[in-house]
Amino acid sequence: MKFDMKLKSNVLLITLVSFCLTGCWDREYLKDLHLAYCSAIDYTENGEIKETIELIIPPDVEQTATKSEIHSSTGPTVRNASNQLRNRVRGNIRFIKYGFELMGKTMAEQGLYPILDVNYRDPSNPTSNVRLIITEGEASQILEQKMVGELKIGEFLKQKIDSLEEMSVFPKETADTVFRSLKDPGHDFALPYIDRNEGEIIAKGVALFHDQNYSGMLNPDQSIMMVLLMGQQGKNARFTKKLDLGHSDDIRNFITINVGSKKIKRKFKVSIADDESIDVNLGLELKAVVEEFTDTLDEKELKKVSQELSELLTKEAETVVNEIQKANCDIFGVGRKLIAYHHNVWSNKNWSEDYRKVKFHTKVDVKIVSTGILQ
Amino acid sequence: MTQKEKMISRGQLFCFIIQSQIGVGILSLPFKLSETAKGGGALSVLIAGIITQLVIILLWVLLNKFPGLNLFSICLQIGGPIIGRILIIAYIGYFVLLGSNVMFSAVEVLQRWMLQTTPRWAILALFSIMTLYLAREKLTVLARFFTLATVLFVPLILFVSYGLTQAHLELMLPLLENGFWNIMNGVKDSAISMYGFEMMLIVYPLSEGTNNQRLMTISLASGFVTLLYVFVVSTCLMVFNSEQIKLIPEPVIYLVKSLNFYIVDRADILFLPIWAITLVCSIVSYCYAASIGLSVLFKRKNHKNFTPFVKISTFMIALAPVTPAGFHLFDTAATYASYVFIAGLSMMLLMVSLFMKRKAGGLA
Repeated sequence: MKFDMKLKSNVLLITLVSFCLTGCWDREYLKDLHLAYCSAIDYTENGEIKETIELIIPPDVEQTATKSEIHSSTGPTVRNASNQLRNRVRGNIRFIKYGFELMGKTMAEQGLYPILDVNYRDPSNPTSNVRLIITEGEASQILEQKMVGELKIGEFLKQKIDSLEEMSVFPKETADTVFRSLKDPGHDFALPYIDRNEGEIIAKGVALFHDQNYSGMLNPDQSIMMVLLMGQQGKNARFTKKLDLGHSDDIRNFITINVGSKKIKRKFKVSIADDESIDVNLGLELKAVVEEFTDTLDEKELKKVSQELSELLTKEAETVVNEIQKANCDIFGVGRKLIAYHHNVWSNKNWSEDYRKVKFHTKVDVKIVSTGILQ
Repeated sequence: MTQKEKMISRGQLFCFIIQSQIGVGILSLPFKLSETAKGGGALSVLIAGIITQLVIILLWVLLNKFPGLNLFSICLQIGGPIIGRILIIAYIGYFVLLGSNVMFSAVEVLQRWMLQTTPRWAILALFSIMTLYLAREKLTVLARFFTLATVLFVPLILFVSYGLTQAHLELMLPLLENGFWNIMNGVKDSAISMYGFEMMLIVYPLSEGTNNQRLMTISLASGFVTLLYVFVVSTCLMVFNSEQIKLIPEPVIYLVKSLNFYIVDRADILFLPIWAITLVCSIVSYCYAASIGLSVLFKRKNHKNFTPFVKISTFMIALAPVTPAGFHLFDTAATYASYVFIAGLSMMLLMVSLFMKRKAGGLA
């Protein structure tokens, strides 16, 4: 009898407890969500924020392709614009599969932080693998194109950024590394810079930033040099240079080398003179693989060509550093070195003015280590 | 207390101390340190670790004066039935306060990062039920669970270590940017996350080994915790710059979130549940201590029946603060209570015991 009572009360308890277990407040079913894969943000003429997103709609029938939709709305802040968007589509938009954010140049000129704040503040927004891209024209126009060939615009851009990072054209920056540079007084950043031209989306190089504002740009060739000077490298980094060989048909004077497939040695040294002027030694030792060249290269020629390439690339590096300094973009983190190792000097400097006075001594050494399968 | 309980081994003692020490404090420690000590944060933690070692030695001297007795019985021995009881009640109050503070902070963090729409009472209730189960058990059961949970430090340390891929030594330099005094100020902040070693006052009589061996074990545990903290703090200070860390109250979780694991987008969601187990251990040890105190107070052999009362009061206390001002008051109260009870009162007990004539044996 007693045993029975205990059994009954246990059964009752288990039933009651299992009722409590069914509840969960923080659940989201994938089928109820609309995933935003990418967004574009611009300022409208009256100073509001215009947000355009690409929504991916899961297919009704399994194993058919997903569909994409482009929507846009405006609001005083990014979050508000997103909420306005939610009013326009079927409801819940979530950014959990978010891949990148496009931002118009006019917006980048006015500062990135107010736009990016929501990405960092709300933990449900991913940041670790989100790319930021600057567009020359209006960012929304690129998304509104919707398809590039067979590909959805979001997928296309993602592949494009990935492959250009591998070609060392774009530095590998994510929303999180940008957050760090945004807040760092001694370090700036550069972001991919793209534009649309007659239906094609082309990489224009990189956009340079000072503090949080767009301040200049580099073309794709210069971008590669900048990425290498930063100490990063993708799988490839190709330069095509004209050598002084004196052939009558111009194409035979050019050489294409790849320096990204071998390890790059980089030297970066900040030194302070007695009068607190700053000298930066920036050196690269590149090991090049010849990928296209019409002459044969014997040992003597190799040396001469290496020499000539070193001079050409040193000159190019100097122009790049000049451009970067003109844009007031401390991409190499000279300021950070000062904060860390020469703190007294740093506190005497007004970095947004004094960075331009830094003297860079740039040197690029090229050594051809392979000529492919031809001599 | 004449009840014979099974002793815990030295390995278990080691894990017990570690698990009670590591709590929610470390998640925000780099943030607090960046305000005061800046780059020298890791130094502050080291100094706090050394101070902790000193306090451990003093507590050990106290415990050695009364072999076989725990904190509460010592209170009775020194203070007599009336003052002793008042001291016991004060200590129970302290353990309840700290237990609810840890639980409260844990729920705060979980709610902000993961369970945004789940009401706070639900998470608190889950934590309470979970810890109730453990805290009413014997010490050996607790020790076994804590030992098992120590395995979870491996993934936790791996997660944080992966952050080193983003680290730049320069972000931490110069070490002495804010000067020596601010580093000492940081020591105060880091001391808060060191609490938990006072559990030795409860478990010391129930652990195996000679006096020196036990001291060694506890010191090693506290040393391990200090080094782990130094590692975590310096990793955070090397990943975030000082301007950025000002905006991030829980840099350790943010660090894990910002890492790119390619397959997983938000590693913090994996990190937090693992961390929660460690938090459960901290809460359990405080509740266990409070229940033991009640059992001594009412001269019962078993603390089992007191645990629900302790749990209910921690639950109520943790539910009370709702505004940021309330949170702050709660934290400050817990901090000062720790100073008073760990350093102040224990030292006073030690002083009194030094002047007191040694009573025959340690039998109550």
